[in-house]
Amino acid sequence: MRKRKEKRVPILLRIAVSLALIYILAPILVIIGSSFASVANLTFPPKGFSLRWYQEYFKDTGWLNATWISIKLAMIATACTVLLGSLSAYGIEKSKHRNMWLSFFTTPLTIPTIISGLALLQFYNFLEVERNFWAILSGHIVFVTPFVTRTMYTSFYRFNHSIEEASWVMGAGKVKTFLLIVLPAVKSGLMSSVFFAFITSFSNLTISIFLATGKNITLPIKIYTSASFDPTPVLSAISTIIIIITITVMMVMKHFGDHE
Amino acid sequence: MKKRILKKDLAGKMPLLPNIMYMIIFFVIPMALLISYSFFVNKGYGRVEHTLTTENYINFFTNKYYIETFIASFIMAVIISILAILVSYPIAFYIVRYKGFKMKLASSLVMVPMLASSVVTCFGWYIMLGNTGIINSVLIGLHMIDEPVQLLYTRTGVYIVLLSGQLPYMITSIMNGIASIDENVEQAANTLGANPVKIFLTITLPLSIPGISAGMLLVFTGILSAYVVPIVIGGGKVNTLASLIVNQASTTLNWPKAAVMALILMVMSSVAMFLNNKLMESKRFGGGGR
Repeated sequence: MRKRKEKRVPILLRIAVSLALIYILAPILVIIGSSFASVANLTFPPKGFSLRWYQEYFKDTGWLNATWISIKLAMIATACTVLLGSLSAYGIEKSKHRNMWLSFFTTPLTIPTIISGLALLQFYNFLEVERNFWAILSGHIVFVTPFVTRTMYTSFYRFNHSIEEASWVMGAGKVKTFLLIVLPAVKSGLMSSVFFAFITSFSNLTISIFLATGKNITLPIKIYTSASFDPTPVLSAISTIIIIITITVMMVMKHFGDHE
Repeated sequence: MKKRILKKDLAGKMPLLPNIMYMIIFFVIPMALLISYSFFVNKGYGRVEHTLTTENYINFFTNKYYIETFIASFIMAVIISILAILVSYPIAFYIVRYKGFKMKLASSLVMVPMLASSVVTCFGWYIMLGNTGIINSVLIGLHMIDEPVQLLYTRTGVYIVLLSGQLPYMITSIMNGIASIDENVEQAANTLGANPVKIFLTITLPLSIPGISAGMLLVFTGILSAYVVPIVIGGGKVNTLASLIVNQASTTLNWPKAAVMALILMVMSSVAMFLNNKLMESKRFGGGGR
């Protein structure tokens, strides 16, 4: 193992890796750069330096509303999916037909997301129910729960169940055992589920675009529509904020993952 | 006695119940509805008549434009899957095999575009691809071209952006594949006198096929359902099956037509998944597919 650290990276491999990394990260760097431009036309490298696009973002009620809706959506979706996903993962682990249940609960992952969105849109249309905030939420839950179920299933699977059985034998009830013994043991899986669910719901466009109406525009939808119709540097500013939030959440996630 | 077992069995299923109910209401029923909608008669402006017909399917398969878009989407998904393997392999190999700070940094950086919304990265590309964007400026600056190349609103532009967005998925899949290879096998080959190129081609590459295959599946279905990039970068000039679905559902409100397209998309991704599963199950890989 120690020897590997000293292994030299072949020059060709190094070039290939650098080019690929630039290719992947270029859009991110360009967005961050252009958000500080002082002129209104979107060019890179940016001309001048200013924070006016950030100020404009914080002044614009349309953008702030969309941001608030997305945050609210992601928070409620996280709570619901972590609850639903963890419960079913626990149930799957205890069941005799683990593979069957796991593939049932993760079906939404195996079909293109756009189809679940369309199906739900037609569902609400069929029921003649007005699509509101809760309709978008219902779609996010369908899409995010499978990720949580899979992560939590792995955590429960790794957990040493004799401790749980010992707790039952000692007379602790099933609920008490679950809360005091099982839950703390799968803490890291739970943490990464929470962060992943939040990010996935917050950045989701595919499901939201089918279910949102004019009253409930989420942040990704607003970015999408202004990118298609009137791209301004305000878009760069809000995108930069999203990127920073994403990186922060990712680092927190990694931190918890390392302590497993 | 039998009753007690049954009761115990039901109690064990209790944690599954909420999610089963949720899935049935918000996934199974909508999907069933989607299938039935594809057989309903379109009455325009989002209204349908609940009489069964196969007209929607006939209309799709006899429309030259739809068939062309369907084929173009399929070709796009295949080509980008293959390109993604070529670009991702070196970087995945590097991240798995060369430890240290740089590799840790690389593996985190790769994840960023995957987690940030796809609209965000798409917008970044929009800035870069314009006639005065960085790509054209650099190419002109290097005297490789005299006039700016039109990249925005072209198929080439859409390919460039889609490929970039799919790389993180391919890289993480191939990383899993390479990480599961027992390095002792390579060591043994080395001891027996095989050169590094031969070791790579006869051991490392074949053993990482499950990872490559899983990545291909992810990228293939990802491209099939991509509509943001075709709409924003393609500017309506480059259509995919997915962008047609979004158009049908948001502008023309022709539910039956949208349902037919969605089901065709689903058949395509199911076939890809089936092939992937078959490959994973085949004896060569010991049936250890995930």
